[in-house]
Amino acid sequence: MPYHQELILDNFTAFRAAHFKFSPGINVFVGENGTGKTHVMKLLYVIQYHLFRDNGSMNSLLLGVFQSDSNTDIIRNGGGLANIKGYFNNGYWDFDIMKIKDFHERDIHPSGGYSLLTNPKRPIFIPSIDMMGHTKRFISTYDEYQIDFDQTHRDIVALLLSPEKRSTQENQNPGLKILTNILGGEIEEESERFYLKTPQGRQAMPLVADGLRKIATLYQLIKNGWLEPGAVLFWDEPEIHLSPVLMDEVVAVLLELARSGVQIFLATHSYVILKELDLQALAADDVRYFALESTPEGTTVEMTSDYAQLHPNPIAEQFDSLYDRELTRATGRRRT
Amino acid sequence: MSVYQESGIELDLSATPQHEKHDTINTVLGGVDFQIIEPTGQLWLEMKSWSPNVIPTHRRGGQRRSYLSKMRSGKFGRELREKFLGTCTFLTLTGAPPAAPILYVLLLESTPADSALRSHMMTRMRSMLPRSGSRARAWMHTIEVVVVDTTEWNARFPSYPARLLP
Repeated sequence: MPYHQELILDNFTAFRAAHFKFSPGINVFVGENGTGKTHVMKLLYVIQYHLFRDNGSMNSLLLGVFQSDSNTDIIRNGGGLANIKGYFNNGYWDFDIMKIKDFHERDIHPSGGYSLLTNPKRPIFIPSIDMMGHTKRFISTYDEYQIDFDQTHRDIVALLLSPEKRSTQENQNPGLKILTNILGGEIEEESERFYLKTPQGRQAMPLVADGLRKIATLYQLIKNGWLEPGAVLFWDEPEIHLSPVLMDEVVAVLLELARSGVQIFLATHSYVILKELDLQALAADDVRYFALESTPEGTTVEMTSDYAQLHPNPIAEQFDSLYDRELTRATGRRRT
Repeated sequence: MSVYQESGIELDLSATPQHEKHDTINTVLGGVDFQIIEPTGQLWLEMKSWSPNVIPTHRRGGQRRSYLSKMRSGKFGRELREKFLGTCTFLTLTGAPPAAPILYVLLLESTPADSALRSHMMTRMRSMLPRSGSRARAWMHTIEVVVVDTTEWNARFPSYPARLLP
C-alpha cells in the first residue's frame, strides 16, 4: 500500500525550503511552537485524502483542514506561490498553491501532475483536541454551521462513528488488547454517543477522563478497522491530557501498529513519548525523528533515526537547563 | 599524590589533604567511597560504573543479569541510601559525627541517563535521605544530592579532576 516517502516544500507556511524523507514506520516531529509541525502533518493529510477520494476540490479541503479563509495564509509570508511535492513509495504528486483574493477551484494546480499505481487509503488525523467525548450531532452541526473547528475534527468524528469494516476481525491488532486493559472495558456507541462499558457499569464518554478518551479514540480506530495495515495515522500532540504513566503502553501500541504496516506521524513536545520510543523501539523498528527549528530564512529540518542525535532538541535543552540550574543550587558552584 | 582508581574512574584529590578513602576505614557498615572535608562542608563521594560493559565479555550471562538487576532504580536507590546512612553511623560511632552541610555526590563513570533522568534521580535520592526541611528533626542534616558524570564533575569541581580509565 502507498506510504509517504518524501515531502519537498517551497514557500509553504513556515517553510521557505524543506525536504523530508519519511520512514514507513514512525515519524516524529519535534520543535518549538510555530515551527510548522502540525502544518506538515495537515498537508500530508490533505494530499492523501485528496488522492484517496480522487475527486472534489483540493483547495476547499486545504482551506478546511487549515481552517483558513484564503490561500494567502498558507503561502509563506503571503507570497505569490507555494510549491509542494512529494513521493509515495509507488508514485509522486506535485502541486502549486496560488495566491488569490477570492476563492476559486483552480487555485491549486497540479504543476507536475501526479501519478500513483494505487491510490492511498483514507488517512486518519487525530487532532490535539479530544473529540471522542463530543461526537453527538457534531457532524451535522459542522456541516450546517460555520463553527470554529478545522476539518480534521469532523473527519475523526466520522471515522469514530463509522461501522466496523469487514476486514476488521482478521486484522485485529494486538495493540487493542493493551488499550482494553487500560480502559478496563470496551467502547460502545449508541445514537452517536460513545460509552465506556466496564464491569462496574456504563459511563457516557463525556464523563470519562480526558486522557482515557484519547485511549478510547485509538481503541475505536483499531476496533472499527481504520487503523489496519496500509493506513496512515497522523496524531497531533498525543501527550495532551494523557498521564505520563500511560505513555509506555501508548507507545507500545504505536509500535505494534507500525509493525503491522501502519505509517505513523506524531508531533510532540513530550520527553516521555520520545524516551519511550527510544527505549522500546527495536532495531527493526524504523523510527525517524525530525527536528524543526525556526530561523529568519524559514523553518529548517534535521532528520535522524537515533534520538540521541536529534538536534536541535528543545525538550532536551530545557532539561539540560533544569539539570544545570539544579546542580548549581545543590553544589553552590557554577560550571567552569 | 592522592590519586585513586575506583569504578573505572581515576580521581585526583591532591588538592586537599583533608580527605579519606572512607570505604577503607569503614569496612563494617558500608559507606561512601570518599569523604572530602571542605571549609564550607563535606563532600561524600560515591563512584559507580553504570555500564554493564565493566563485566568481562567471557563472564556475561548470569553475572550481567545480576548486575543489571542491582542497578534498577529502586534497588540502586536503597543501596545509595544505605551507604549514606552507614557513613553517618560510622562517623558518629567513631566520635566524629558529620558536620552539616553534606553534599552527597554520585559520580557515574558512564550512564545512558540524560539530564532529565539524572535530574529525576537526584530528586529520588533526596527523598530517601534524612534531610532537614519542613519536617526536620534534630538529628537531620543539611544534605544536598547531585548525580554527575565525569564531564559535569570536572566542570563543577575542577580542583579534584576525574578522568575515565582506558
